[in-house]
Amino acid sequence: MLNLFKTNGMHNTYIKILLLTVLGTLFSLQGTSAQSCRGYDKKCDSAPKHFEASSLSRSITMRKARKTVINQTFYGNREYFISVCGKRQLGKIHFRLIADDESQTVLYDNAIENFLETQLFVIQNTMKVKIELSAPHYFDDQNAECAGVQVHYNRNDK
Amino acid sequence: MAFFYNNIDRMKAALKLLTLFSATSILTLSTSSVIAQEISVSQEEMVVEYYAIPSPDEILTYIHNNEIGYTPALLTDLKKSGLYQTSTERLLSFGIYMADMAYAASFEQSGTALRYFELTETIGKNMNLFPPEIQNIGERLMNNMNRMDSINEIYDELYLLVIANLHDTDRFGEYALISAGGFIESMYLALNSNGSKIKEDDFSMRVWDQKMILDQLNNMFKKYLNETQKKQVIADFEGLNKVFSEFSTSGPKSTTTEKRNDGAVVIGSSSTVKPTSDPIENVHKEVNKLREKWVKK
Repeated sequence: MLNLFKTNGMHNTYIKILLLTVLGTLFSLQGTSAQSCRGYDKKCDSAPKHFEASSLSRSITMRKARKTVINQTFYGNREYFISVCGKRQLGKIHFRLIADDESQTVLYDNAIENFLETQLFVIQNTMKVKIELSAPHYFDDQNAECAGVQVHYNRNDK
Repeated sequence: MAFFYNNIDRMKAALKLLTLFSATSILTLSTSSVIAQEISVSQEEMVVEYYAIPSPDEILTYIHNNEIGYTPALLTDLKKSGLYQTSTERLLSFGIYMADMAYAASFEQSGTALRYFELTETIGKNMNLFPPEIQNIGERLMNNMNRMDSINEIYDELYLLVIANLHDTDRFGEYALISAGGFIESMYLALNSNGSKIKEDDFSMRVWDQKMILDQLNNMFKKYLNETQKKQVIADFEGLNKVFSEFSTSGPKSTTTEKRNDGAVVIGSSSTVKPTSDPIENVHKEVNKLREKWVKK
């Protein structure tokens, strides 16, 4: 009887350990999903000195098979310097600039330039654009990682 | 022996429960982290969509283009800040005060800009607009003043901190209202300042360009505001939306891109933008009307 109780006690301990492991995993997952990426965009490459920081910059959380689209308006007669970056684990960051009109024309795609992280745009007319970001080489199902996009502008007429 | 088998059965049952619990929890966690965002699911990938509105400073400088004179009489009365009672009023007023600070700072009126800074700092603290780990934001920014070029940088840092915090904590409705307040006040200041060249084509076109910001604000109101706020704010913007709808583009719009020798990508649109009538005065009138409604006297 004592042995049986011992066995039962061992099983209870086993179940407790298993339960704690599962809960631990869940808490760590929750921690990942709720992680703050605030300020990560500041890690992206800086713009040339005469450019001004724009409030259009964002830090985001990236996951496998997820695209992030940021709707913005770029003013005409301005230059916009865009730089993207992400945690090393994400691999290269895919960045596209898309015209937010009926045609949804892709204006720029960094995939054709080996995922270049910075690009200067000269905007002639004010237009609505979408900045689309993804991490095509990131295959981790469970974890999210931080990425950012920095937008700087320069007035051509200054 | 029977007890041993009973234990195995109990363990199996417990394991099944644990598996079920784990699966449910993982599903719940994976969906709750993105619940406040605009998401569409395709066959293989999710798309998360955000909006980013230029700050009052960016809107203001784009419209006035250094062509207007500083007109302090237009600024919102700091003493009336206690009259904004509802959270909608307070968020709109925060955007309005930020635009006033940007206006004063852009004309190097440091004393005035600092008074608006102190007020926005107080409102921001009361409304938890700043990241919780940053204490005494005003003191911190003021201590760093020696290292900063000007009051403009204090404004930038304050505004970017608020926007980044709201984005980080999925508070997109609050962001929409602050942006709306800043948008209207920026338009009001640009249109009413001494030397404002409303009648000139270039100035008018820069005002018309704000239609794109307005379109994005309208989308944000629909997506992120609660029903009460949505009803009120959409009604408030009805007049301005109507006059901006008179703006149209002639002919099909095509966007062209060209890579310059220095690597820059030049993007232009071939469409001719032309208002169907001459309604710039109507925009002016509607902006003043809405600003009059929002600002306490």
